[in-house]
Amino acid sequence: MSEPAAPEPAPVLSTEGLSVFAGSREILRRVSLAVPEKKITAVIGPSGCGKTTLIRAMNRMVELSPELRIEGTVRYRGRDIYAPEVSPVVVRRRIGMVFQRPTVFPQSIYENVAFGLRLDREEEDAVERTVVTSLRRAGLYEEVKEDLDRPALSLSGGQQQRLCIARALAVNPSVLLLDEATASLDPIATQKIEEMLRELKGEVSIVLVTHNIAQAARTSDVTAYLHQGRLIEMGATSELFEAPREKLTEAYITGRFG
Amino acid sequence: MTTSPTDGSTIPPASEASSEPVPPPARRPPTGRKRAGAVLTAPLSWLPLLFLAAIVAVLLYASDFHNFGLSFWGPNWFPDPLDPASASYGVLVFAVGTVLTSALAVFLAGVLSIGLAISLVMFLPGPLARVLALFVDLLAGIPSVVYGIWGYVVLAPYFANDLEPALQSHLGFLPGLGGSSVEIAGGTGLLLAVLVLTLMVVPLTTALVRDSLRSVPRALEESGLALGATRWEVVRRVHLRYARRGIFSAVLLGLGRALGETVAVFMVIGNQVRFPPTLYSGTSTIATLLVGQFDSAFIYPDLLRALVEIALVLFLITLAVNVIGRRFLTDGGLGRIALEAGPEKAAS
Repeated sequence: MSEPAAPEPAPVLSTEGLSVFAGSREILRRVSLAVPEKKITAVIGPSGCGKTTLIRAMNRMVELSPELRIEGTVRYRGRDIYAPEVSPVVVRRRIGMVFQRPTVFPQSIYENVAFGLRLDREEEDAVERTVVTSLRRAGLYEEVKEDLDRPALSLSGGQQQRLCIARALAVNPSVLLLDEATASLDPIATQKIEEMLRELKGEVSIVLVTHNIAQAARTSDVTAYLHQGRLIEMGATSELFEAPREKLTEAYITGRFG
Repeated sequence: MTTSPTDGSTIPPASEASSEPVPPPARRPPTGRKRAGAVLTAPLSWLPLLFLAAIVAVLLYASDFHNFGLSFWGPNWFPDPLDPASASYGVLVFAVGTVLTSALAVFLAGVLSIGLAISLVMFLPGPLARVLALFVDLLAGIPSVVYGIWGYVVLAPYFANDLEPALQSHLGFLPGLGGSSVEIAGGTGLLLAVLVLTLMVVPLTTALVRDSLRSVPRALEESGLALGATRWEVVRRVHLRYARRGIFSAVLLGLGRALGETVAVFMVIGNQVRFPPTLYSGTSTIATLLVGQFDSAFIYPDLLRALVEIALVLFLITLAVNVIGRRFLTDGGLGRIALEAGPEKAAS
């Protein structure tokens, strides 16, 4: 494993020479990086740089777009998640995902969080305990505890997004992938989610795709900078923002393009 | 045709009105032309309402509520032109026949088309699904009478000789499936009518169910998958839940279609005036009664009035079903969330 930038010895998730093609166009070009355990890893870069594709490759969501072709390896705790004997269902249970816009199901708050648990046909009191814990972990419980049977769609956008995070946490993943999860939210809702993520990182490894450079600087421990499908630079967030090694990185974080 | 501008509430003018000098709309500046288009089409848009009103008016006028009294809602059908006093025109047998055939057919069609739509939308590869969907749509274009003749020529002998005797001997203990072998007769009857109706309703309900499954946002589907659900679990827990109003509406609109279906049912239902003791028995629906009796009705005024009144009953049933079905179709209580899908982004 050639890992130039990763400071952690045993990454929870790593990619080796990961390329994704749409026809002949290469969306990701031989990206090798390591996601450290129980840290927040930010993936930044201008739009169209392949950030979203990168994290969608990390839990096999890319497979849902039949026009995309994948090369290279993605390892979760050393195991190739694309190996033929590995089921995408199992991968996605270990590696959860939250999307750019809140995607609550048209059901109650409670049933949204219980969705993944119902798949396992768990006992109702176990489900209830997990629902409450997950809502707490996502920092939403205090706001909704009076009525968990309310329709989830009656929540505000920021609350809906935290509900989606609670729903993802309920199945107890090791890694949580967030695809621009605050892009559609106002600053206050964004701040709440950032605070919650900092609290969560002791328990879950987080990969945060964002086009918000300040958010990456505020929130993350490690930052990866992607440009036109290539990993330009990856390192401790403080170092990358204070002393970027690459000119492209410097140009991007100082706002010369983006 | 050129019409005079009207206030829109009246109907396309008679010949007198159109002979009046009308400023030629085409030579006006653009705004004028737009207005001319509106003036020309506005009366047309009122036509459906007019037709509806006219039909209801004729039905109300030609029927006779006073003469038949309560016996109209009863089970006895004895049209006796020579002795009007003892004649009885009860709608009940036919109403039951209509509701029974339609309800059974729509239940079967609902189950079939939900399964069909799920496999077309969710599981089959795109090109294959498109070809198969085309065939489903083509089924909708087959004329009713063709279904009827196919049912009579192909299915009825098979029903009489194989299917129905087998059902009777193996499942005869179930209500409606036992009874005397006399009931099977030529294979025509309730069961065959239900089957033919089912095949006629399936294209419509499948298309509607397909549309409501397609309306489920891709982002919701992906969210389910990202939680570790299998595709089938996502279909069950996300799609069917999200699309349930649309599916309900599809079934109701299918019911509206089944209730009024006439010719095909007439050809295969056996046309006996009685409550069907078994699923194999011949019976009648409102629609088949009307089409079967209408020629003689012009000789017997009482019969004509009774048939018109029975037609009114059918009209009200189908109207109610369609109104309710459409309400659920358009009142997208759950469909109002604007969600953007992720996959387009993924390719960026």
